Amino acid sequence: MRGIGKRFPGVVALDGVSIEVGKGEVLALCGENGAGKSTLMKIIGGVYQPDDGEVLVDGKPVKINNVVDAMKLGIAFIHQELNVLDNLDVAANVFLGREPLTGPFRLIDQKKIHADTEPYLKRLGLDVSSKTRLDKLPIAQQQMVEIAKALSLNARIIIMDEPTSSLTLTETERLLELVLDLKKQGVSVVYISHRLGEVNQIADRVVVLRDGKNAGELSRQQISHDSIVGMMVGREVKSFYVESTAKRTPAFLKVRNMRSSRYPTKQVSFDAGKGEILGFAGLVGAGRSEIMKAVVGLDHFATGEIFLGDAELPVGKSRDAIARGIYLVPEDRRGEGLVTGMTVRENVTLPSLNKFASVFLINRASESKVANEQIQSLKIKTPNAEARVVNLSGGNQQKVVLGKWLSMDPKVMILDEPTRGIDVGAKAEIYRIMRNLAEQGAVILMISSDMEEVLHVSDRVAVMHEGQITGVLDRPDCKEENIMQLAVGKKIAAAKAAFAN
Amino acid sequence: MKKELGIFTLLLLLCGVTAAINPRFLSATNLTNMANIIGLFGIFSLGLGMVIITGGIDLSVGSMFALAGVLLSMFLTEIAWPFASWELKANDFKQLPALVEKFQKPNPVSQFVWGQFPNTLKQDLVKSAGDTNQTARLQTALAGELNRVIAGPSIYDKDRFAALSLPSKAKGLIEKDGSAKNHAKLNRLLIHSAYGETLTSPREFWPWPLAAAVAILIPMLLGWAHGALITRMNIQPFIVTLCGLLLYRGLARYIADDGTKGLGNAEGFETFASLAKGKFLGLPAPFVILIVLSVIMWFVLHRSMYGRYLLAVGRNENAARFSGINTRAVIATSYILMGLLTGIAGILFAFYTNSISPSNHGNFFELYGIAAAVLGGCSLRGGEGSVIGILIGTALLQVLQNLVNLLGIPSSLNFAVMGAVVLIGVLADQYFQERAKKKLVKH
Repeated sequence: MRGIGKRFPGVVALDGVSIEVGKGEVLALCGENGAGKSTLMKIIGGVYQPDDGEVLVDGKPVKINNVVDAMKLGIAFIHQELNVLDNLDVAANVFLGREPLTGPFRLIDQKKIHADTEPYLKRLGLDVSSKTRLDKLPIAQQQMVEIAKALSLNARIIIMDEPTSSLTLTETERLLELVLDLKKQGVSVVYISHRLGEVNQIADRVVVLRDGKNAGELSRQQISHDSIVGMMVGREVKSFYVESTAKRTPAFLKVRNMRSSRYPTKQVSFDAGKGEILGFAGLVGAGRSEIMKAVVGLDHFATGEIFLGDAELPVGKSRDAIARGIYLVPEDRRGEGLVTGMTVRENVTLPSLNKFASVFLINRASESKVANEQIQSLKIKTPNAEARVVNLSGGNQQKVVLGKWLSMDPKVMILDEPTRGIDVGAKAEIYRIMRNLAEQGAVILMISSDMEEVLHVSDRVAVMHEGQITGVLDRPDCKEENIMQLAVGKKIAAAKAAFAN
Repeated sequence: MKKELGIFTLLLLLCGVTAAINPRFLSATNLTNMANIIGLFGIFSLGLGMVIITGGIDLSVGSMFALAGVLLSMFLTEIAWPFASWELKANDFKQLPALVEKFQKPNPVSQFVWGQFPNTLKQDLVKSAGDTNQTARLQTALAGELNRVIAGPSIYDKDRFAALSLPSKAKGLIEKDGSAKNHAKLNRLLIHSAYGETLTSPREFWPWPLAAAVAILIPMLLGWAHGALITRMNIQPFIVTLCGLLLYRGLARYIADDGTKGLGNAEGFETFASLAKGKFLGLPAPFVILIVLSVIMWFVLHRSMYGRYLLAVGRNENAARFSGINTRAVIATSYILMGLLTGIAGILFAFYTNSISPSNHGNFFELYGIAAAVLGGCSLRGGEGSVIGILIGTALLQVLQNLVNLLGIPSSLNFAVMGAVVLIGVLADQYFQERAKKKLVKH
């Protein structure tokens, strides 16, 4: 791929990126969340079309218009989320979309697909019958079936996007062995992973992307944990952040031994003081959102202890958490934060509706008053309080979510990816709102996968890795390298404990 | 509001066309009859609308009608009320002079009863029975004395009652005899068989307010069960209520022994019948009840906290839950509400048909309700709908049926016409929505 560029509305996702993969080579593609890895791979896979640059296969320029074109060129994609139909058997999955037909009624040739599937399973060392339904198989074996499908397409290039994110340790080992096998068989593999240990183990070469550009390349001998992290970080700093002025205050919110249903064997404990913005950094899937959902009582299987001041809170009861002023601005704004078909007024007052209801009727006038106060103080750009939220921009939608909680005097405000998909201007305003709220004495927890945001908005940063806090960094130690090291599970000296007993 | 306006126009158009072709459409009888039916269907359609707004569905309405109807009829005309009073009341005496005449006849029963009365009363009765000014006083006095007889020991004597044909219930009691508790019932039955037409027959079945409560509470209880299964066990509403549809129909048929149940002449619950079948301000009762319930439901859906939660949960259950709304309770309550409205409509419908054949009473009613709600702008995806829309939708469906009758369209086409109009209505709505979206994109 040469000089690939891809723009999305408001974002330059890729800017002149070039990579190449040799036959039988394992190329690891690294970079932070949003560095452009997935976009680049989707261009190869035919999901997106590049705005600039060209893709060459066997030295010839090719145009990949859709997934079928990619298949024909021998490019197969193993996605982060499995793309299998677990209600069908192995053979049906392998031959999905190109089933051989037979007989006068053009029925699927069951004999043939099973007979043809078996050799691929053997080649992968997968000891299951082609007649097994996929939901009977563990995730790792389901992934193998996807690889079998790729092989059956005579794939010469297999792209694996975070293939191990949902695998156990042994399953991961098995997958890595398989990658090396494929390599021996002359298949090229592009391996995308945040897990630098795996990259270290299998990659022949590492290409690092940063902000949609090539950040550098490492050959087999140069690959090391630190060299990759070093290349992934380091960029200029923009100035619209409201810098921290907070002094450390005694712990007000104490979370102890929290377990979420995502990582039921891992425990998380941390403290946060009034007036503090505690950032939560980590890679996607580190369990940050899950812990926060557990703290606000939205995970019914969560266990642990939560203290607000001296009072202990019941766990797993979201209405209790809300009643005590612990609010969540969720990551999925449209899915969880807002009822987008309703008006700004209705959304703002949704959690506090009982304040506006006498006996059983809602007082619309006082409702509108509160909604308009939030519209003004948050500078929500909307024609009026009666506009439907679905018609607002992402930034203004996020302000509506903030507004509904700000009208309820937050004690602890948890923001999950508060500025994802929001333009720069609105971002700055949201940072200002957060800082104001902190100065008024609220505890603020902010999950963010945006490194700059974590570095410049947080007073302290807690870094999570696979369901655990690997360390907390004080303001002076908040450096990109430190965060990356902790995020991939390494211990470093600067890291402090997350809580004091 | 625009949605409702569109369908309202369609309703007016249909009314206009029908009235123009057949002026009988506007006759008082036809309009009254239609108002009656709209009332019956509107009430449970409102409930179905609430359930649809949560994104659910209730297919069990028709079967609940059968169950509620069968239970209502049985409690009113078949099942004995254990605390029934066997005392006579002053207004149980219908024709006082005729009764007094009967007392004086020289037959063993009369002589026995007459003999129990004090002399002053006897003289009083003979002298003033014909005087209408004295009637009330005499009735009270007579009731007092007769009740003393009723409460006393058994008045049965083989010879004494030899000439009378006894009611089967009295015979049964005589055979069993014994329990002093039953003497009152036996005495009352015997006295009634002796003086039959001049006395009101004894009321021994459930009092109508309680029978009505059963017919309403059972559907509410079933609604609660639906809600619990849907919100606690995470079973899809379609499945839960489909099972309900089959279950309650079967139960109704079993309870009724698959026989038709009736309400007869509403003897003993005349007040109830007149409430359900009568008229207020010249309008049929079901229509008036619908109007009252609609006003209440309008406030509930469009002005109350519960209504806001209902719409929020229907549109985005997750966001509602994240805002601290007890989404399970909101959804479950809608099914209980549905049960309440089904119960009320079920009672009115039982009185409307007056006979309840459990195998087809209320068949397909859930579908009328769903069609009305959808025509009225409720989305089966949830989160959308209005009380006004549901009312117009109900009216439209009933006008359509009326139109089929009045315009001489073969009634076998009834369902086909309705299906076609619902389809056209929904298509038109979809078309206008798409157009509005396109306009929005262009700007």
